[in-house]
Amino acid sequence: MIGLRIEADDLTSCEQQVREACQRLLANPVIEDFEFTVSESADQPAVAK
Amino acid sequence: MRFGIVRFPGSNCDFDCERAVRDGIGQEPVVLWHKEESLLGADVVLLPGGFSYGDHLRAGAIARFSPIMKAVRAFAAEGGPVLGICNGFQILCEAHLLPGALIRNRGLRFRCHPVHVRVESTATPFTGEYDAGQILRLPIAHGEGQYVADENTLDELERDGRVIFRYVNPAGETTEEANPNGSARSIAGVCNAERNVVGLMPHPERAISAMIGSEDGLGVFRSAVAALTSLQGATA
Amino acid sequence: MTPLESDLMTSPEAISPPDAGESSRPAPERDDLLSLAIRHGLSEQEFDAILEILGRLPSLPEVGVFSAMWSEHCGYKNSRPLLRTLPTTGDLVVEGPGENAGVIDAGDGWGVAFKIESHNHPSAVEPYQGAATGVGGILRDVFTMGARPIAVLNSLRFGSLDSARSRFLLDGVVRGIGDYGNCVGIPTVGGETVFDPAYEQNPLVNAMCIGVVRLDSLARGRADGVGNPVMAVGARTGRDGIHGATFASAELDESSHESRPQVQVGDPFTEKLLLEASLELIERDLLVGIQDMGAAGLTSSAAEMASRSGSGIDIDVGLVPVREPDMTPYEILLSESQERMLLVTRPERVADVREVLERWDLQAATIGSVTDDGIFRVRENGQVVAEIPVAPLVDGCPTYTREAVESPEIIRLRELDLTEVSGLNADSEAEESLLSLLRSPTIGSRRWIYEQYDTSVRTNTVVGPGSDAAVLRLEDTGRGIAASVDGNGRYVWLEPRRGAAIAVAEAARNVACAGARPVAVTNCLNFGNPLGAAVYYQLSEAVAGLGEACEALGTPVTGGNVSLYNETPSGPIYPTPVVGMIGLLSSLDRVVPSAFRETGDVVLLVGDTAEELGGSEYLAVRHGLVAGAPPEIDLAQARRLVDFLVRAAEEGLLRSAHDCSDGGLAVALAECSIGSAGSTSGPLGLDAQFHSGVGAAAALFGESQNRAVLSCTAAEEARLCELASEFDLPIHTLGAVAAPHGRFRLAADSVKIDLEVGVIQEAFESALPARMEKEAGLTA
Repeated sequence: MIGLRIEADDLTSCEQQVREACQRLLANPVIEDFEFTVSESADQPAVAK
Repeated sequence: MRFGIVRFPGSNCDFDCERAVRDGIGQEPVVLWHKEESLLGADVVLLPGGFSYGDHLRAGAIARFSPIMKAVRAFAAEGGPVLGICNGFQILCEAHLLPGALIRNRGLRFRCHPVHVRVESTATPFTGEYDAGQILRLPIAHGEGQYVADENTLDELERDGRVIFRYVNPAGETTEEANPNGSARSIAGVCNAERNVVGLMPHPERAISAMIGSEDGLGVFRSAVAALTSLQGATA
Repeated sequence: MTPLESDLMTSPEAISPPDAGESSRPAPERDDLLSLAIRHGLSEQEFDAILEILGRLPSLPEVGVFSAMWSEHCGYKNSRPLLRTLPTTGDLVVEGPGENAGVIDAGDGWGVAFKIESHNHPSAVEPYQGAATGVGGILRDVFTMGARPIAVLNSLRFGSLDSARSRFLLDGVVRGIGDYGNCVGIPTVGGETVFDPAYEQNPLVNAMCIGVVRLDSLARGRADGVGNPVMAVGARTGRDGIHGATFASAELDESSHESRPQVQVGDPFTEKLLLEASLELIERDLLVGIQDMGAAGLTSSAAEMASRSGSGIDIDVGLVPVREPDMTPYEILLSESQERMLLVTRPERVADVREVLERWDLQAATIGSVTDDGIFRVRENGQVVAEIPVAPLVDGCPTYTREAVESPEIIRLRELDLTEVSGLNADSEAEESLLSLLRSPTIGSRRWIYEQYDTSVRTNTVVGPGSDAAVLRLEDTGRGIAASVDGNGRYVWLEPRRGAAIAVAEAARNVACAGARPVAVTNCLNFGNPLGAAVYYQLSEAVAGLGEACEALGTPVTGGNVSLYNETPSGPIYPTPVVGMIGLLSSLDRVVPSAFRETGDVVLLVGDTAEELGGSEYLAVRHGLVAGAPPEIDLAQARRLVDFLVRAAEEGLLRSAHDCSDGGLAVALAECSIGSAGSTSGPLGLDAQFHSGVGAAAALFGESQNRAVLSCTAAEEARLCELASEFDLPIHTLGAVAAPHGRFRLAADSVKIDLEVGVIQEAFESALPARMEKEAGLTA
């Protein structure tokens, strides 16, 4: 499990950033799958897991 | 002939590659720092073993983003010979310059001992000096050397003769026992479709004199010299 | 941790500076400080000595600093008077004890730096990290000398593998050593592993590193030159391992697992960067001095560097890069966070030093400077929090010579009449005895362990694990370095002086069997609590034995480490001095393997065999008995045997040579057969007969000293025997090497062993896998 803090304007752009990070770096699609959830909090930047 | 040896933070077989090139075959090694973007006129590029960037995340996962890898990618695209050994093989897979991936050994332990591999194809710049079917004795030293790919990729590799080395017993047969890490179809090394990029888990650079157990690895480096010499002859 | 200690250690307000005037809280009273000091492992006598040195009450950081520097680990307070008796000088010694590692002159301008160190207590609590950081620490000790580490060896001891805890510890320790050394790229080329219930709760993990250095670029741990900047480099300082040195100098008890925060966490990737950067800094002559922040961290590195130079040092903990917020001076001074170095450079070279470190992605901070007032001064953001004279801090630790009394129980066991043991010489027992010994974890194959280590990286490994000694090439000189680590706790327990002497002789013999001349020793003294008269007796006698043997063999001690308090509620460990021996080989063409090579070669035994079974592996494995006197050791003869082996190798007379030790002649011969499997068409058999004049058990399994099993071609047999007599050594032709996959036949008078060589190989190879791979999971 990898936790990320991402600053983004909206949920869609946040998800896009997370998906790209997973595809390009965090997971190797040859051997790994990934799924993620994004949660938002008012006082803190959004957290993706 | 100039052999570029990429030094990532955490590379630890770079010295051995230098020694193999310099003392083993009398050619010129040149160290390529990971933060640079130039190959300094290298004719061949070697990605040595070790634990680049501490193998953080996955072996080879971070190295592929280093500046030098841009140059390596361009060099490979132009047909330049690139060899990845051990961690270098892992980096080439992560960089999608080679198909498949390397996962933890079956048995989940690091393993270091001599193995036998069979040369499956001499049609690469790193195996031309061997005989097809020749058995080599080379050391392995890895925790993540189990080669995996989906069945279609494996079939394609077999069909195109892109499996370059296979783990075998001393008699040259593939057996469960002779496969030290559980690699699919006993694969120890593969090449790309253009055949100029080769990766393998065993260490030919550690098999360059009988004094340290074997000199069977010298052929890998000699092959590169021969391949480039004939290429230069053809274009001259 | 008690509330008082916890409060004092973590609350910055509680730290009263020496010139405590404006502190809001009242300064702690003498009695409070004394009780704190006692909880830090200092005695009241030592506390009074501190008051005398300072001329005032110590501040809390000062109590921490003294307790670390005056712990056994740093101050050698119980062992220093004994260690002084060891021979430490010789023609080849460039650096003896006192530097980060010993250095010998290996010829052609090359030096060999080497040292052994223990990481026993951390490994008992957290085997993976304990062992990993043990390797990290010993690598740093060697590369701070400017030497490039080329090999690691280790000496390990665990309880019986029948216990799940021992299996868990072995698994963790092996993974820890492997993951660290493999990642840094230093091959692990040899060692020893012993299993005995005496180490059940208190395993021993000793790691030895060997490096090579150009003698003209040797670096040292010095702080010379007033005003020169002092830099902290490498990992940030965290709260891990605070007071590890003190922890390492206390007994283990049930609450020791609560000491986990005192066990450091290793990062071999940072170590690798630190190694390359340090060697580059030294090679470019950018440093005045360099030292690992090892045991007792910043405190000991700063104080020891100043001590060697007779200078002072002034540092500000506020400038040290930290990993966690709100760290107190106490914590920063005593943290044992790994992969950190202390450098002293010159002002005009700081920029170059920074450039090198940044290229290797390493942190660097200037934290102070060298002074000439002989004071170790620590500030926190400018305000002085500790001010201690360097000389008494580093060298003024009170030393003790304790009462030494041998335990009557051990005397009784030693004097036990072993001829009373039933079934000793029974004919029917011999084959099963050999197989049980080969299957025992202490004698059986170490393959399961060493195949988890990278043994071939750096392409210097001429002979790796599984032989008498590891052999490495010495750069491109065509010459070699041989190394072996040895110890026999059971012998030392039964008779400390003799047992320790045997450890030296065996290590020398191992190195000589490979064809190398043994030249110098590093040692690790693993003992129990020296305050007990019986343990102190063991320690003092063992050191005497080490000294006698090193003297006789011409192998001075260039350094090492003392690990005391290896005790648990069930008692002390076997006293276990471990000897790391370095040998030099004049030509790598003359390396002698330990295993048989050719069918038809003549097999010989050099040395005398007596009726000696005391302390033997045979008695322990087959009769469950640890008793009797360990075998006699004639040190003059030990020297002649070494000289003979080296000479025979130089003349090219030997096809193989193997030390005859644990398990006796039968085991030694079996190992020669089994070991040939890798390099020939299969394990070679044997046809041998031994007319010993002693009982069958002693003939086959006795561990008489000063013996080795040799093989040579028929043509060289006469010359080899002649050479042995020139050295006044008895030599017996036993028989010949038989065919591959043949039979292993050994007769001691009328008692016969006649087994398929495959059967003995199977027994030998199964020893560890049978115990380690059968279970689904390993549990604490």
